[in-house]
Amino acid sequence: MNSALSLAASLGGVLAASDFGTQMRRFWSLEDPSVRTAILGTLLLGMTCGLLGSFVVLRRLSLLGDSLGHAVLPGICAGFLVTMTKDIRWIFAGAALSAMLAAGVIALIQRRTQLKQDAVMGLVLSGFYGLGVVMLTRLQNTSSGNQSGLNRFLFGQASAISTEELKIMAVLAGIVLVVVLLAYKELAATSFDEEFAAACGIPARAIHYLLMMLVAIAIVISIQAVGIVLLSAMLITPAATAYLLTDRLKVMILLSVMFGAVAGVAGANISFLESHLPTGPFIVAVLTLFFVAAFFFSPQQGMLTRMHRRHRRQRQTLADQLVRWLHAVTSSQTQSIEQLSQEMHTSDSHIRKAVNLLRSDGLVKTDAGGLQLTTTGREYAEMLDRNAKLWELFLAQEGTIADIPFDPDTDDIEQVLGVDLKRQLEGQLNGVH
Amino acid sequence: MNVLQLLPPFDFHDHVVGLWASPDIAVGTAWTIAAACLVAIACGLLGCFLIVQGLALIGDAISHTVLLGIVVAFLLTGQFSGPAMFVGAAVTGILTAVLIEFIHRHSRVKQDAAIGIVFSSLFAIGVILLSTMATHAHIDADCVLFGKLDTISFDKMAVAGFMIPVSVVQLLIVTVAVMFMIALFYKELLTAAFDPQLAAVLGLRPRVVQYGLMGMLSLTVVSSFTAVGAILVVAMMIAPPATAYLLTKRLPVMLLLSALFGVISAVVGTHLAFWLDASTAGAMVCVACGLFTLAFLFSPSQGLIAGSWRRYQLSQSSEEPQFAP
Repeated sequence: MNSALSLAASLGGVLAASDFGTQMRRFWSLEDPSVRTAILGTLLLGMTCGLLGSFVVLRRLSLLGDSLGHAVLPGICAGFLVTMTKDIRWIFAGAALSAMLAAGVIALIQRRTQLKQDAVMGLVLSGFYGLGVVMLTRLQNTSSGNQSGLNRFLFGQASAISTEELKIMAVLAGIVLVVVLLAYKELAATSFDEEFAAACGIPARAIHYLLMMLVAIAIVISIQAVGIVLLSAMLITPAATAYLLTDRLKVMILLSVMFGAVAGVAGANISFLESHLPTGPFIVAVLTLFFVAAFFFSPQQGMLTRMHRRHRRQRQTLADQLVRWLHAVTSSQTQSIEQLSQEMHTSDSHIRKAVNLLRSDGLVKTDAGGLQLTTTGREYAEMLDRNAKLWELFLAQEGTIADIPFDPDTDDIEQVLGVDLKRQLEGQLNGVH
Repeated sequence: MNVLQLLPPFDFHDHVVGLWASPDIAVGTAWTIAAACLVAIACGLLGCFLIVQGLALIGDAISHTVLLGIVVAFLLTGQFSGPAMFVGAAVTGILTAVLIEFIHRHSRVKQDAAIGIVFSSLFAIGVILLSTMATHAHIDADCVLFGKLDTISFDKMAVAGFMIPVSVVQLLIVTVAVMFMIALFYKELLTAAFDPQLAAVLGLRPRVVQYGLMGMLSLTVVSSFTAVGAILVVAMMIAPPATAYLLTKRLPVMLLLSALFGVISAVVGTHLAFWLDASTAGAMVCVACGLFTLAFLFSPSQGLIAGSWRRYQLSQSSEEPQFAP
């Protein structure tokens, strides 16, 4: 209990420290050059990862980022070894090379054994990481060279990005952007249906390797600020969030880039407030908030929105049944709620909600004895009856179920079958009468 | 040359015999190897079921998220060991599996993306709690990542008159529990692994088996945590079983081979780390992946060389393609 309190105190200490306002002002005034590089760096990485993440998530390669992310560690150490200084060009080159090597090893093992894809990725991830850990600890135990900062590659530190690193990051991000723009059509086609794309003459395997290489570059851009342990979230979470919000690839990519950029800057801001706070986990936490919001409240895909829609539809269906029943049994008699619930085999409360819906639409009215259809209600009921007959006729004559573009959200027969077909069916129905 | 600094000259007497030179050193070495072997056996046995069920990356995810459970348990009890830590870890492990399933089922996000989102979120929260409290908690980030296998014998307790390292006692209990559970539920695990639908029809409840597996996994991860660190646990869960998978198609043999490869990795890895003056856990993983490479090259059934040889012979024998009449 005591330690829980001390946690609250220490969290409070971080957030309510007297220099909170000062640090915020320092961050957002953009006067400090290190703040500017941090913001630009996290923007670059958020946007690059968001851009590539869309293709990665659609291809169900989400954990590729995790594998390649861990696989850069031996490369970072090897890059350090070349000059024995933290020369960022060599470290980046080493990281990119070992990520690409890991991608190659994954492809090789997968082609030649019966191991499942996830096992192969896990194996390569841990093998490269294990090697990296040996090299890193070996370097730490060797006195020569100033390698103390290598550890920050694990969780990332945006404020440690230097101007020179930023330049390299910008060049790499530019390369990724240009390649994606040039190969957009191929990337998009292979992301949705690889075999179809291959049949159309798109070199699907080459595109796959191209994407792996781009991901490796994105990882190199990100290790500075996010760290290799949480890299995969940068590729997956913004893209998955965008995927819940739209059906169109271009919109998805734009949203994903935006989420990546906002979370990147927010993470940089939070970690700037206190010197020992790592950047990566905070970026990931902000991304997670976006995802949770989209997961529950996305207008089309949100879990709660869908539940709400299903509820409303059920109530509407029950209300329609009620109207038709009231119409069929009695045009003039009134019915009590209890009678109705017995007849419909539903609980009183369900009936009451449906009745409320009908009353607000002016289809039923209540008097002392119970409820009764209004004139509009009777018209509505006749329309429903007629639609039901049209459906029956259509199913008997024209359609197999599979042909009907069934949309559970609409009861409007005209919208589903089209005006012409409806008119034709109506003609037949009148002929039958 | 700089790269050569990574490989110090190898001296059999210094680097192999040296680990066992005096009784004092030998005892420390023995405990390190014992702990490493226990980790390797427990992880390897569970890993076999992960590999055949296609759950390897859920294992990876749990090995990360358990950190959150440990940190929360620490916040509530103020202790970095003991039953609270195990409960916290087991709860987080099962929570991870449940959350992945929840996201996967209630949205169109596929399972692989769901795994990535859940593990990175929970791990990030764990790291955030850890870093905002670092001044109070004294939890070593290096320990979380790389483990502290070398210092395992510093913290001992008396068991039946013997002084045994606490970690070894913990690991022994967990490893025996893993073996016991596998023996007890062998039939259920086997059916759930190879034919979940059959298991469901037989009333064996594959989902319960799976959550049970996740719970055992979390306990193993948390007890191995201090020894080999968060990320390297998953290596010991995947590499030895994957090696065994290349050599046999029979689950009992796979379990035995996997444990054997784990033990070899532990013993050789300890010596390798001593020679290189580097992380013991990392060296263990390197040996485990070296064993996989050997199997990948030389396995009689699935090896690269055997496969190439078969392809070559096939190309020799069918120079003139024969068409069926």
